[in-house]
Amino acid sequence: MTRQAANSLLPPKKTLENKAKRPNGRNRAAALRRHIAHLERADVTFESGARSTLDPHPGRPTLSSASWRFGVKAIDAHLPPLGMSRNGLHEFTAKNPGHGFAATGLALALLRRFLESCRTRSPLLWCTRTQDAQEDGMLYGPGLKDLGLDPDRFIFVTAKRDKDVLWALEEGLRAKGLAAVIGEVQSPSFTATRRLSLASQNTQTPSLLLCPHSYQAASAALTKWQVESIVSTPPFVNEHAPGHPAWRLTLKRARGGQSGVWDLEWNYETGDFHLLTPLADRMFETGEPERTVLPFRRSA
Amino acid sequence: MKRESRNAPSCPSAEAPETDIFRKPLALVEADAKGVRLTAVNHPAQELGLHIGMTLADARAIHPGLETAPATPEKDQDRLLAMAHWCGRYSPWVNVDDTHVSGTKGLWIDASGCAHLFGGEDNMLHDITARLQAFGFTAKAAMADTPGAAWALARYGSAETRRAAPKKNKQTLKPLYLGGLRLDQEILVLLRRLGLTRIGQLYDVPRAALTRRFKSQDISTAVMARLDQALGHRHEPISPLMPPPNYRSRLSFADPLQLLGGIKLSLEKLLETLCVSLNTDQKGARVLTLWAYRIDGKVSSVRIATSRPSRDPKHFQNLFQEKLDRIDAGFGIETLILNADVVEDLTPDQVDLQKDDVTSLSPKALAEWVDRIGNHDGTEKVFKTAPEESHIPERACRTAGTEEDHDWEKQPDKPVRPFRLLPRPEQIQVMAEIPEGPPLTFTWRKVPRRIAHAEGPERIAPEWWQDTNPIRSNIRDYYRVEDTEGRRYWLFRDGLYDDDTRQGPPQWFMHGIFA
Repeated sequence: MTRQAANSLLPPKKTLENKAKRPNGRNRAAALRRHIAHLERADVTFESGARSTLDPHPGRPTLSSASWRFGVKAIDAHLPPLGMSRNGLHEFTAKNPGHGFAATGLALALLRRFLESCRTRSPLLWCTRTQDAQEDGMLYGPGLKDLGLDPDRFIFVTAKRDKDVLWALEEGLRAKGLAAVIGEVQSPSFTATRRLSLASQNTQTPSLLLCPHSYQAASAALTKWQVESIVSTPPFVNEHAPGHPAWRLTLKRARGGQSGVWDLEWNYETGDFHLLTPLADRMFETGEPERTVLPFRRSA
Repeated sequence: MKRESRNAPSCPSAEAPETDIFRKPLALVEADAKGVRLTAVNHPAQELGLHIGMTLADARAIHPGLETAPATPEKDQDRLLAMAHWCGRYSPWVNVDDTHVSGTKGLWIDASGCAHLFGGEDNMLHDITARLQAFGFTAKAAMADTPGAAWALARYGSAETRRAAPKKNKQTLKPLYLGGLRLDQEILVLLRRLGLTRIGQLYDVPRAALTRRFKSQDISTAVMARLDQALGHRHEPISPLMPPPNYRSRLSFADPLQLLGGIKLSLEKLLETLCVSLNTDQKGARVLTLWAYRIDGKVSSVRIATSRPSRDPKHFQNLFQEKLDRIDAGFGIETLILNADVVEDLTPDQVDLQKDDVTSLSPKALAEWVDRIGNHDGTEKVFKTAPEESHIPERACRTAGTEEDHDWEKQPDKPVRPFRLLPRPEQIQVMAEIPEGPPLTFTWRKVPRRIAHAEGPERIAPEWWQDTNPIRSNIRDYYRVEDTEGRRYWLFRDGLYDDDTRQGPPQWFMHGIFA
């Protein structure tokens, strides 16, 4: 459906022109690449009906902005041209069993950036399985406040199973007035993620899913992030104290973008992200150079 | 005028009288301290002269071939309760009769203002007995101005006098046996010795004289109280099984409903009627229950609750929608009743014309959405978090209703708090360099972790005005730590090192997780 819709929107003239010019092999390949890029970008914007979503005033946040960014050039370059789209699903998984809280942390950080990019005062839906809430607790109000989020905007839902959480998220999207919905689930099926992303597109409300590291299945998410905590840089005043939250971020998949790996620090006092400069003593497990740009392949 | 109706199924455990076993003498027996006794007998057994309270040995002497079955009082009570719910189709005010003076059980129905719905009092009584008979119960129903009179008529009245005409209690009760006054067996024996057997004989006896003849004041007061209750000189309230709702709508069907579509349509009508009357009184419902009365006498119900009062039929319909398939229609539903169990004031909302944030949900839309999620089967809880004035981390916030608004900005500044607080602190095993300091390594959830960075302590003392425990033992020293993998935690040491009241070193706990 996606491709058809995009095809019908492509001006038919272009292909004729291409034929007339009879470009050589290299040009042809470049044209095709542009074509594909066009399709992939169209995916994000055209279906939602918001065609001119390219922000005319990039610096100024608007209510209708269809996406939000990290504010870090290196990362934003890998995201689709519009940044993190609000018309879809974004997935956060932990890299290792013990790093589930890092995924939650990054999701909260991105949520804050998103809320600051649009002026709405609408509530957020945060949905968890009861079992998880009993084990790790729900989000803690004073802690949210410290991260620059207004706890009063959060509406929490605890539900029995994964499918109840997903149902609540979908209902939340249908309500057409929430700022965002966030769900903590174990292993959503592809159908479930597809449903969520469609509902997100229809209401232009972003949905965020937090999954454990064991979750590997295919999903319909626009971006898939893998997060891992890394040791923070201590503040100047106390070299023994933990500093700002720091994560190693892997962008596993980005529709219309490129995957990548970054070490990132989040200053929750200002809400800004900073890339961590590579230190001489910092070791990388794989021996790869830092910030490797992995070639992006569209699955199937 | 209050009209009480009462029916007395005489054999609650015997459900299918047509089968062979019920044509033979049958008794239910129960063992007590004095031996095995009969607790219920059927009609053929009664004709043989067996009666309730007789020992099984005596009964077997009279009729050696007596069939017996163990009594199940709890099941009887459950069945009676179910029957009382079924009687809710006649009136919202029903209860199980808990008078323990006769072997028979009974139900109260306050039929004030209900009889005309069933074509008059006689027809209503007939309807009750006919339906119960169809279910396989032997039941007698009577109606009178007072519960006492109805009780007497149901048990000792003849078929013609089952209904006492309004204000004719005295005449109707006159020829009845004194047992109709709900008196204990010993009192009845005593009265018989005095030559009193009919209720009417008590009318003319001077009360002072009666008191003198009894052994004690108590007995005469009991007799007179029962007489006054029967005649309506003394008020006898009946508490309903469930508080009767002020708002209620009902729908009966000529042909029993069996399909979900039919139930949905009927519910739509019921909601409309109910919401009109709610609207007239400027009320909104918080809890609604839909009762479905099946033709086989079973009753099932579904209930919805809302987070704020509402009288929007569409909203209610949506909430019921998902739960309707839980109603088991069985052989068909003959009556649907919709009760508004909790009702609150609801004035019309004023439309906010100056609202600038058009994308935000209106409170009404938000409440409706919360209701929808909250009434879903898989949902446990829908809530918000609200600040509390306390330094104790677990007391610094509480769960609140979604309709409440709280200003978190006004909260006093504290050192940074974790974004996740464990439901209860979890004990950890630690190794510290120096006693008064952060640990070097610790084990949480069976995983050993080395600490890379630590900051603290932040000392949080208990609230002296609330806790009765010695203060020193509850002082917590919180540390913000980061392990070598970069995971950031909130740990605390419970108590001080130099505390002599405690055995051994203080324990450490994990309390929260930082971003």
